[in-house]
Amino acid sequence: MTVLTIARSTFREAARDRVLYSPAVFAVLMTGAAILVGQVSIGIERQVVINLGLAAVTFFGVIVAILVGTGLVAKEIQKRTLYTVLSRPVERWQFVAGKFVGLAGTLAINGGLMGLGLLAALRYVSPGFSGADAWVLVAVYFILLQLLMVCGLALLFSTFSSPLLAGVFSFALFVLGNFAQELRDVAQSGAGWVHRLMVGATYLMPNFSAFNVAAGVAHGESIASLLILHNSIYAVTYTGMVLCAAVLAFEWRELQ
Amino acid sequence: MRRGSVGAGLLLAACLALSVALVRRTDEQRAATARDEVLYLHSPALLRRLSLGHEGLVADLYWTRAVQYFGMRHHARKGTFPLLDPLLEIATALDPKLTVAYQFGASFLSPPPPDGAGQPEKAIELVEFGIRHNPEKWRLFYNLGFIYYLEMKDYARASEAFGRGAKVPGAHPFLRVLAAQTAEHAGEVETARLLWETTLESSTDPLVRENARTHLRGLQ
Amino acid sequence: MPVIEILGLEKTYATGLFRKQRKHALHAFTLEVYEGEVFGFLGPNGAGKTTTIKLLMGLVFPSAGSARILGLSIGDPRVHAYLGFLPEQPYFYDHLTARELLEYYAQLSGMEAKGRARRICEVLQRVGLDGSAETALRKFSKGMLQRVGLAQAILHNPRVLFLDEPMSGLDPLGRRELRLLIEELKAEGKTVFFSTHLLADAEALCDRVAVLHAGRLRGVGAVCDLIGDAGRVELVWRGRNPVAMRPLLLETHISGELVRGVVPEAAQEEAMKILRCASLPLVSLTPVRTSLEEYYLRQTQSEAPPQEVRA
Repeated sequence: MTVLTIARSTFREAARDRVLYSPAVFAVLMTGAAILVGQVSIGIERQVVINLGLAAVTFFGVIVAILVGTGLVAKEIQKRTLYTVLSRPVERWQFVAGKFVGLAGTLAINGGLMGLGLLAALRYVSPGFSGADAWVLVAVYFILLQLLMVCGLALLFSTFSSPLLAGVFSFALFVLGNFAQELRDVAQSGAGWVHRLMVGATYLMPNFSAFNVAAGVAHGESIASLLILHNSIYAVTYTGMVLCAAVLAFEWRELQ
Repeated sequence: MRRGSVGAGLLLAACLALSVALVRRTDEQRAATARDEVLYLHSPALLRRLSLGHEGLVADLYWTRAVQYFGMRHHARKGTFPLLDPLLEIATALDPKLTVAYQFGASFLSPPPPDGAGQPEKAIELVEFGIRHNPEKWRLFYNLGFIYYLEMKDYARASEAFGRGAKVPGAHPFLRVLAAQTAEHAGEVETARLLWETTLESSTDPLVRENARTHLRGLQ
Repeated sequence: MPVIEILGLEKTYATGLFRKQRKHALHAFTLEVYEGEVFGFLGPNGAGKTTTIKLLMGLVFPSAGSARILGLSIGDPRVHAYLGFLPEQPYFYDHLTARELLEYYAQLSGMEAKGRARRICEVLQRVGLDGSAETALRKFSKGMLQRVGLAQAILHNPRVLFLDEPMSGLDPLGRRELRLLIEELKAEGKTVFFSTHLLADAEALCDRVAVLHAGRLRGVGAVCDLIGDAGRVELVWRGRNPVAMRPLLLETHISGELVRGVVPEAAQEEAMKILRCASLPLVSLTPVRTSLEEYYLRQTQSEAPPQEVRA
């Protein structure tokens, strides 16, 4: 109950922050640009719209996830609005969980709107329903899962560092997440404890390699339902892990 | 206050274990289906712009990818390496001073399958590109002559390559000997032996030396 | 039964580049506050008042010692249902209106949905904000925020109130209203623990006070004991200051034809005789009492080197 109350309030705060809408508008503009590009290059309109659209959803989604994730929590600590919340019968884990649920809802709606914009653009370039559209939605769903992980990381970092640093850390991990597999391959090619440590570190990073299906989807490839299940479970467990770490960091944090 | 810590710690451990297991599974599946053998970006010019001034780093990444690609397919005995040449081309176009990519890249490209890609003409193209950008590296001439001699059986060009290399200041004195030897005793076992011995003697890389030893044993 | 029990509570911070040095924000101290008391926590800025309150609220963690509120350890989340807390210079979500904020806090406090709206109106009225209930908090002045802070502190009808510098940011009228509010809360049987550096407020409101200085508890006592008899009497008469009077006087002040003199209690009779002999009319005679200020200054300056040499 407490968690939901905090989640609702977080969602309301994000929704009243008009900053949140501008990326959505921008994504729609990007999709519009994609349509223009698609008309210039013959034969690959669909492909260009999907590739550019999914890139825009990722890019703006990540910006919102990091801005909102670090902003709302670190701001509560900095501006001390937290004092009057934590002096009530609210446990610290409830605060972290409530914040996350609120942020996740914000991201889901934000990403969902962008996904709908993308579908509308697709409808424009290739009228009539196509079964491949469903895979585009799955690609958007994978992006949303990535955003949830990034948002969890932003929340974790903002429990012990400044909003700016937390933002930098989360963005760095988002980038690393796309290279985690390559990094692990490099680390595994060597031996010794340094390499083993590096391999371990790549497991702590988010591993996004299985989430990036944009290129395949643009070519009308389907996505195995097993991959959907696998990615969903991974996103939940990774986010769970990060949130537990955030709860631990926050429980020990002194609010000066 | 910190009562939740134990629960959060346990849950954290469980989530960590599960997510590591899932990632390992992804890694295994990828190795099995080699699903990511797609080169999304073919244009070095585009990659240069995307690297935001760090093309050296991107070149290193592509070189690493090339090595892994070759190693993985070689290990799986695929016999063909369609992406090897584009990967090497991108890596060297982004960073033409990446001489290691010419030396090893050529030795991946030139031998016939299953030991290599069986594309000696591509290997020659690659090394010539390297020579244009690094004329001071005598070893590249040596690599070039090596490919002409052993893979192309073009002894005149091999001799010419060794001869060009011998003129580079600081070149290994054996290049001059090799130039003469390949011209006069083309196709003889003794010449091949000399080539591999030079490789064994002049290289410090353990893998290269091991490879040279294997070939020398084969010639006996 | 004590409502607040502080047992050897202590707080140190690690400072310095390698966190090797330790700074004592609060030296171990023990204190009890009883039910229905208005308790003043006095001390200059940086004395450790806010640190103490934050320790009690569970915002920072004690380095040693423990504390209990209503018999529950401060680490027990249940205790928070019975507390109201007004932080120093409170700040709230500025995208909300006063009513929305209180609604949020009411939910967090676990108040039943039924009667919540009525209670919020009641509380807003009590702190004098019923006219601004629908205004966004970002448009509020400092004094209004202080009132919102009070409203959220008393919203869920808590048994114990912790107010950190509640008077700061309030204008004289606001201070008077707050004094009345605290008196009302006391009449309702609530325990009020407030920190302040304004002694007049403490003297007027508190049953007992504690004086804190540089992280150490310097004294605790009932206000009526602390401001007891000073053993001196103040006489005011009309006319001149007779020569015979002068050796008795500790202090003299002449304004117009009124003379004000302070004499030791023992010399009271003699001084009156002198005035009668000189036919000087006595205007008033009052025993001098020590003020809380004197007590406070004694406690907070006892360790400081003498500032001036007495002539």
